[in-house]
Order: sequence, then C-alpha cells, then structure tokens
Amino acid sequence: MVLVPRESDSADLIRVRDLTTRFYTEEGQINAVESINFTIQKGEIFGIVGESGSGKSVAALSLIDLIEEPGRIVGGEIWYRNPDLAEMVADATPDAVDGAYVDILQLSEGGRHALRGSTFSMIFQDPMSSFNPSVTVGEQIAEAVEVQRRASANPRSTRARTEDFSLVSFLLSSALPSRQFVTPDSKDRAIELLEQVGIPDPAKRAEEYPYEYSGGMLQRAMIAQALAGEPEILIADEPTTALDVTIQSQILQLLSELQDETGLSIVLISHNLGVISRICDRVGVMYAGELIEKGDLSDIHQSSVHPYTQGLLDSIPDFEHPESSLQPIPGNVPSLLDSEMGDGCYFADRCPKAMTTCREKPPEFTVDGDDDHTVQCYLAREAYDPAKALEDNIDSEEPDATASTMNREQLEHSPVEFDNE
Amino acid sequence: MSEPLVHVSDLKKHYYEQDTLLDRALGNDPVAVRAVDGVSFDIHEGETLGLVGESGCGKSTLGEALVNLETPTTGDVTFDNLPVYDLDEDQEREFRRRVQVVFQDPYSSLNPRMTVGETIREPMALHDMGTKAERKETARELLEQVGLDADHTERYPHEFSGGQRQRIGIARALGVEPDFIVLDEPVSALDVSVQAQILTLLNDLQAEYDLTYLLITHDLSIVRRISDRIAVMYLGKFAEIGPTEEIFENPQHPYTEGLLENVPRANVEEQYRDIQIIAGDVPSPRDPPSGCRFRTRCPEIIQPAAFDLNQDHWRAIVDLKTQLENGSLSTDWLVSRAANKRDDQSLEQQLREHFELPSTLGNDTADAVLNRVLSALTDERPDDALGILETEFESLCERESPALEETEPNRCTACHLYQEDSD
Repeated sequence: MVLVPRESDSADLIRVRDLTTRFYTEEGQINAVESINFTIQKGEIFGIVGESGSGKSVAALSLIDLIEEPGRIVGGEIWYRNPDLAEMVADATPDAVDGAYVDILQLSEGGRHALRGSTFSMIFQDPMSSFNPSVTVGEQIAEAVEVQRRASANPRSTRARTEDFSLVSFLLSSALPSRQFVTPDSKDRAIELLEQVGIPDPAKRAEEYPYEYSGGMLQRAMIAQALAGEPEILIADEPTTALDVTIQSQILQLLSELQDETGLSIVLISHNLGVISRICDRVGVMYAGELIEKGDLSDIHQSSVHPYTQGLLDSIPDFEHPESSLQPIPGNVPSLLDSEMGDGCYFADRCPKAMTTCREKPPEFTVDGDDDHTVQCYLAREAYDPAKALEDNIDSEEPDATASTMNREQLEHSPVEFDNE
Repeated sequence: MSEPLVHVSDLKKHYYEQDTLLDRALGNDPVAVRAVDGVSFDIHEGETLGLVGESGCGKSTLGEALVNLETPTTGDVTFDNLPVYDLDEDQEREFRRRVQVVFQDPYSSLNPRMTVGETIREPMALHDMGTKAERKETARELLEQVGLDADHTERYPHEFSGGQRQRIGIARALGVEPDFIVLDEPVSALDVSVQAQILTLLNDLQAEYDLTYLLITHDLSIVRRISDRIAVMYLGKFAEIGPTEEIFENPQHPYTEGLLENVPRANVEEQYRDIQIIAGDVPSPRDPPSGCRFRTRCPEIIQPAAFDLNQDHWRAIVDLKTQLENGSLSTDWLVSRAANKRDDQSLEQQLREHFELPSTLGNDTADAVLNRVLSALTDERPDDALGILETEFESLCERESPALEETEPNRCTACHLYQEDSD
C-alpha cells in the first residue's frame, strides 16, 4: 500500500505517508490520526473536510509538528521537496534524504523548528483569541518578521529568535532603543504585509490593538503574520468559521488571490463543503482519523464512492434545489478510543451499504484506475450486494453517548492550547 | 388573515455606554448602542418566522426582548393580544409557560449537576403541571419524542453529544406545552449531519403540536429549510421581510441579494460562480451611517439624478468618500503614499489605481468634480476633498432612511430602489 515516491512527479511539494498521531490520555489511547496518505502539490489548494472530532485539525498540526503532550506522532513519513535542505542534512541524517526530498519527521527538533514560518505557516479559526490583546497588531506582525529574519541570517542559532518579555528586558529596551526586538525595518515590512492582505490605511492600523479590529480584519492580520516568513505552505484551520458569510467570501477571495500571486500552497481545513468547493483544487475527506476518500473536487462531488462522502453531501442543504430533502447520516461520530475501535471499517455501523466484508479494514483503492482518486471502501472494488449486508448493523438512533463525546472534547481541546507563534 | 399570535410594534433596544455616575459627574454624554432600532412585525399562529442577519445585527437582542428577557427602550409587543411588558403576576406566569426558548450552545445551557430527567421536569414542576409521577412519565415520553432513549433520564449532560444535548434542550422546552418557541441559533454549534437531524425533528414537532417558531440564525440554508417567512436584519433594522421562497428566488434588498450570493454552495461549479463580494465591515451600531444603513457597503447605491455613471465607477467614488468619512484615508496615509511614490506615477494616478477609479468617468461634470477632489487630496487636504464629495456627489441613500414599505403583497423592503418616490 505504501506508494514509492515517483521521481518524475516533481510537482509534489509534500508527500505524507502513513502519518499516525495518537493521544495518550487517562481514558486510554486515542487514535486521532490513523495512517493517512496525501500529497500537496506546489501552488495548489488542498482541502480537508470532516466533522468535528474527525482528526482534521490534528492532521494539520502533525504536518507542522505542533502536536503537544499527551499527543505524539507515532509513525509515518512527511517528505518535503527542497533540494537545498536535502543537501544540507544529507551528511548528518542520510536516512532522511531521498533525492530532493527530506523526511522532516527524521530531522532533529531544531531542524523541524526552523521549517516553521519559513516553510509551513498556520492560521487559526478564532482570530480574536490568537492575538496578544496587549500588544499592537503591527508589533506582533513585526515580531514574526524579525524572528524569520534572524532565523534566515543565522540558521544554526535558535537563540535570540524569540522576544523576551521580562521586566528587565522591558526596562532595557525602553532605555536603549537599540535593544528593542523589532527594528524599524521589520515594522515597515509589517505595514507592507498588512497592505498586501487588504487592510486600509495600514500604517495607522498597525498601531492599533487587536480589540480595535473587526473579526474579518483580524483574520486578515493573522494571514499577514503567517506570510511574514514567506512560507511555501499555508495551513488554514477553519479560517472562516468564526466569520459572517459576507466576510467569509472576502477572506476566501484573499486566500485565493494570495495563492495566485505568490504561488503558495494552501491546506484548507473546514467542516463546510461549500467553503472547500469555492477555492480548493483537491479534497480529502476525513472520518474517525482516517482520510477515507480523496480526489479532485469533481471526483468528490460527482463520483464519490465512500458512503460517508455521499452522506456528507446529502446532509448539506442544497441552495439551488431546496426541494430535495435532507438525508441526515444517522448516528454519531464513533469513539476514537483505541480500546473501543473495532478492526473493521469505522463507518460500518452507520453505513447503509455495510457488508460482511466490512468487518475487515478496507485498504486504499484507486477508483476507476484514476491514481488521484482513492478511497478506503470495498465498494470501489465490488458493487453493493444486499445478500451480504452486515446483519448486526447498529440501530441508527441508539445513542452511544458517553464515549464519543468525551473523546471528542479531548480531541478538540488538547490541540488548541498552544500559543500562536 | 387571523389575528397574529405575536405583534411587535416599533421595538427599540438601546444599550448605553459611559452611563455610570462618574461619567455623569464628569459630564460625559452616554453613548447609545442601537442594538435594535425600530422594528415592527407579526408572527402568526403555526408559522415559522426566520430572523436572519450577521453577527451584531441585533437579532438575538430582538429575540430576548420578545420573550421579556430584555426590557426594550421603547416599543410594544403583544402576545395573544396581551401586552408582554405589562402583565400582572398570573398573566406573567402563564406567559412564561406558553413561551419557551431553545438556546444556541447546548454545552452551556444545561445544568451539568442535574440529570436529564431533573432538567426536563423542573419547568413542569415550577408551573405545577401534574403530579410527580406524571411528570416523570412525561419526561420519559418527551425524551423518546426527541429521539433519545427514555431510560436516559438518570444520565448527566456530559454523557451526551452536542446534538443529543440540543435534543434535551428541546424536550425541556416542550415539557410545559408552549405555544411559541424562540429558537436562538439552535443548530449552529452542531455538525452538518447532526444539524439536518435536529431541523427534521423541529419540523416534525411543529406539525404535531401546532407550534409557532421564531428561528434566529445567521445561516441562510437553515432558514430556507424550515421557515415560512424570513426577516432579514441589518444593524438593528429590517432590510426585508417576506415569504421564504419569494425572498430566495427574488431578493429585493441588495443586502439580501449579497447574503444569498455569498453562501458557499457545495458543488463543483462553485469555483466558477461569479460572486459580487460585499466589501468592508458592518459599521458600528454606536454611530450607524446616515440614511440607509447598508449604503456604505451597498453595490447598488443610487447615483445623484444628474449623473448616469457606470455603477462600478460610482461605487468606487462612494468607497473613497466612505474612507474619508471614517478617517481611514488620512493625511498620514497621503504623506506616506507621496513619500513612497514611484517616479513614473503621480500621486493622483496612484489614488486612482488604489480606488479603482477610471481615468475618465464619461461625464464632464463628474470628471471635473473628481479632479477637484483628487487635487485636494494630493495637496493633503482630505477635509476639503470630503467637503466637495459631500456637496457634489450626494446620494439619496445617504440623505434619507428608506422606510420598510410593501413592494408586493405580503412583502416589505426597506430600499430606495423599490420606493415610489425614488428617482
């Protein structure tokens, strides 16, 4: 099942292979992300869609190596194409290099840290809580610019890359302007970045505090901050969920313009298939920690194979054809506790087309010989046969409340508690 | 048509800032936040009125004022011909039984220390409904009715998922046999697949118990599913009110049109759909724009009668004016622009490029005015530029606030484009 990286296919910027992330909590082991495979091409927008608790945020955080205790990336490879980096690390860690690709999970912690901001950058759902309320927006962006500037000027040293907020440093920097962390140059760059993301009168707005910004403006500012290190990949985790629909359109347009102008690759995570449909080129659907189906936007919309993907599409009110009735998926997202997860397909107990074969975990199939459209479902290989239907299919309305909610909460809460750099 | 169940007339709710004793002693004038600023409408028995608007438009405040959880500044609400803000004790008790609310956040609207059964039985006990045994039985029946297991009465809220908790909240509201339920964002905290389940449940319950709903939401795709009529709210006022299908098929107010157009569709053609993006932010309710409140963002803002400019060019002029008004185009900005300007481009050209103004508007008078404005700006006199714009390019939409008037039977729109006396 592991695909060998193809040398000819040089458009892949990132190749993720069997990435697995688990959380070790008091209740037990939680398989938040289970052996997912995907690629990100240069200059594309890759969407990850799924319900809450499906592991989409954890997958993104694993990519940028921001998983915190009690979570850990326990397996897999993340191959990043960068010939310069490959040459640099080839001597120290030969295993981590394959041609122009580097497996960033095998790099040292310092090496991975150095990729944040300059290669990967991230924006979050709630702009209001992602900024420091007591520092001006301009200064926070300038700080990010400064961190990246120092990092690229002196890649080996990790000291002096973060601002020290002690009383001593405050007094010193007040008394001696040369000791200030941000320089006039980085402040000017911050204003340029604010202008790039469409903030009117950026020089004045840079002097304002986050509370003086509206939600949409603050999301723009967060994008500006993420662009400070001129990253190759921007990970946007539900960037418009906290915003109104008119503002959502503005932000999506901004992301797609930035992608056009700078050739950035974007990973867009959303629960809203409409948002994904507006700007993504390819989509992956996540369910219970697995990437169950991925393909072009049209593969997902028009020729999806997995019953969950179809269920997700059917449970969205169709704006153009309201008369078509909603088909909710019965039941709830399953528990991700390792002890409670069966061996078979995780969707089988909610699946209208579950068969006896589904008691065994389906591997990843390609659909109709199209290498870009893959699905983890036996329906790609054989048509549904009612004679083989799974008999003990759990009644849809039977709530399995305890486990699923508790795990979902842990999953939602644990990754959110880090600081926005 | 029959008497409306709920009748709202000219309801206003203003909150005051800077209104402490200290502020008074210092002579600070209180600042009014006009959350709800004069709305009138009816809700008829058995119907669902969808109240739609973006965050901060006052829709939740309106919902709370309707059920007397907020005392309005002015205005009246009658419920079944009784004045809601002027009830005696018995009437008040009866009103509190007949009107229920289902809240947005199923995680914080249930008491974590009460079992589900206790939660559902409490309102019934407060209203002296049935004996203890009967209430227990009713709670079990209600749980089944909302799609949960009757044996779950002894469980606590944390044992349930978000969708299940929302079902418990609905069961609690149904226990006292209400006539009217205010649903304040009932599904926005839930996943899409669960949203569909709850909406279906609400629909079924309405049919069974002949309930009247006020559905408050920011999500247009939800209102379309279960509302009979829709009211669209913007900055404390109604932009438009009318039957759901008519509003979706043929939105009249440019704001409604923009809202509908901006909802992302989940289909393959979405990337190629031509969307008119509504620029800017919702203005502050502390200082709402003069005239029509949507005019600062409206793509169809009316031109002065003397001109017939390209609408995009006109919109660009209005944007320039709005930025001058709210101070985001300041002298500092002009100075920094002038300092950084490229050699091959004059400041005037930069301004035209920045505001997407064409080199000519195709109308000599308008061009002359615009040139005066731009030369005032290049001389760093933004106040003069604003003065010229205000006298020469004044839109009807800035001057007069459009009233909510009937444009078609059962349909009202507050927009000058649809009013008889507009030019």
